[in-house]
Amino acid sequence: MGRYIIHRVVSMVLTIFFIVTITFFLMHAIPGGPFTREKPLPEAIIKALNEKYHLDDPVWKQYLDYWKDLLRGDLGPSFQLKHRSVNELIGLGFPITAKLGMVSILFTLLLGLPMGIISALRQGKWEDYTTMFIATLGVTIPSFVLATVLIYLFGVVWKIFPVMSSKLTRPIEYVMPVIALSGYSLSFIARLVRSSMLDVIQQDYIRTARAKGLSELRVIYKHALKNAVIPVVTYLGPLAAGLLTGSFVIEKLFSIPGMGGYFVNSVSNRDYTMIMGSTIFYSVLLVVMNFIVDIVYVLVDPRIKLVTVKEG
Amino acid sequence: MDKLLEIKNLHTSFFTHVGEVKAVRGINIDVYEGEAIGIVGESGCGKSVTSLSVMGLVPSPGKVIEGQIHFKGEDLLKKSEKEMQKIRGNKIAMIFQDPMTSLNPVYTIGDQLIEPLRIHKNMDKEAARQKAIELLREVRIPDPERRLKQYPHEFSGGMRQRVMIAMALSCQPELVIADEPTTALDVTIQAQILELMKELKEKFNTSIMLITHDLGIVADLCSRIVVMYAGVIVEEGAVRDIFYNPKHPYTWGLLKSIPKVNMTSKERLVPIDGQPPDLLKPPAGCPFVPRCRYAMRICQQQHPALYSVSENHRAACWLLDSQAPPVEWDREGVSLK
Repeated sequence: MGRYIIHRVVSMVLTIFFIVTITFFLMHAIPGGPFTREKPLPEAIIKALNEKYHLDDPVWKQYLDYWKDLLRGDLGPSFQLKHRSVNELIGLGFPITAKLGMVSILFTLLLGLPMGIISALRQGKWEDYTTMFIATLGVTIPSFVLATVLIYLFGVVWKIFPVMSSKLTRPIEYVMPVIALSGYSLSFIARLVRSSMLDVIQQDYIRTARAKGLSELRVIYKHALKNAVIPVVTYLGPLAAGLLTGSFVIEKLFSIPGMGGYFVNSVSNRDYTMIMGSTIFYSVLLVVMNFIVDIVYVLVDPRIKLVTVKEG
Repeated sequence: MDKLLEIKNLHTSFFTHVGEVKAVRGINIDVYEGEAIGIVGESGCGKSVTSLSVMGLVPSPGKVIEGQIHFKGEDLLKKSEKEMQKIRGNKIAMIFQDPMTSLNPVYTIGDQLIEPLRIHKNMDKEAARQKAIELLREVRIPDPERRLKQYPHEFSGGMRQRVMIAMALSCQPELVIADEPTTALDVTIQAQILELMKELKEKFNTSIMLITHDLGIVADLCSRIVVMYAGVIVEEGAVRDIFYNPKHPYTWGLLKSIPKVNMTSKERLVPIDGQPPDLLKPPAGCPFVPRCRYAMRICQQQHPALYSVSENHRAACWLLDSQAPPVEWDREGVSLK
């Protein structure tokens, strides 16, 4: 286990290294730069700006300089928002996105798991058809359509929920963005749990549990559920990383100043440092989440042993 | 001896979307206290469905549609699910066929062993743990304290079946239903498990209903044998009767398909040709007709009643009728006299 963790940490660091490198060179390969405008700036200004941000250095030198800063934890200044560093911007955007993400993860699990369980246990009954109808809609309707419909109906027509959720201070402001953000993952989990639950309740050990005289509730919640959530754990890593980094579309529609917006805008603005910063941030989050999921696996399924290839 | 279990005219069907599959079609079985009875037949003859009917665990879309199952004088079919839960694992326990899949992979052996003790005997955790250790010792699992903390995948097949037996015996049930308990195990382990079951039966005076397709394994453990075919009982009797004086052509077929120790390599086993009938449309007459060398016209038309051969030996075959031509069975083959 100890060796496995060391092994994994090393490979995580390598992964991040390659992500940084590939993103850096790809980014510089795209035509245009941070100061390209529709109406070109005067030559002298561009020259001065390039000099200020060391964009006139050879790319390999910029790359090495970037690593020097990165290793100190400095993601550099933003090229677009003057007088702001990338660290500061992430520090501003991430907490908002994370708050929304956290609530969405909770919502996804607290609703998705029971939905899947109920429809599996009531297979072929109206409960099953209802939840699977909702889940199919959830998987097929894109989040921006769902968000727009929600805003129109609940925000504009019936005026139940606020249309702008920018502050996210009151619980009521979370309702619509959370539903729109977690609609897909919620439905996905419900379907995943349903199919794995249907598989598990056919297993011999469930019959054994019943033959012991356990109540049906205990059979399901003790013997079936733990086996049925194993596939959900796999999906949990990317899900958590995805929801925590937010969605550009949802943030835009609900005017939430989170990470998602920075991420997308930075690309179209060629805000080199912001692209790098948000990519690295997202990658680290994803890699760490996957690592946590692998550890959680061992806790859920005792058959899985974490070993490095050499040990095994 | 008193009757512990009395199955009367049991009918169990599966209501599938293609129609009603009549898996068990009116069987009567008595199990006496302290007795081991073997239920023998090929796959799909209704053995397992019978045992699940007793447990009240026939999986959907199956249903007991007729009959009574008296356990110590009370009809189990009239009991509520709550009442059945108090009987399952407590008064009637079950051992299943495949020990590799019958234990929950994500809980420790100890956790699964103490469960029935906790719910049926209201033991506290520590007392249940002590009892579990004792049980594992009883089924000869070495180092039980350490084994208790292990998961099923850390046990071999034979060891898992020992755990299943320990689990079945934990609440000292009066009846243990063993559904093909040795089928998934290799031969030497089979013998060990049977030996263990025999020993524990003597020790706790538990009745055993042993369900198997292998006549060889019942001989040692059971005193009586019931032979089932296509959802009905075709022959029943003491082990001696079935092995030395079988009366039903199906039983003959089963006996001839057992390999003998003194067989030469040139000799071949004699299989029973053909397939059992489709229970979606069970035949009006004897279900064995298409595979029976001795079938007569009456066999096609009417199902034979159980003819008494001796006091406890009965067979459902028209050959036993006084009007039928005499057919004699001997070890080497069957001949017309």
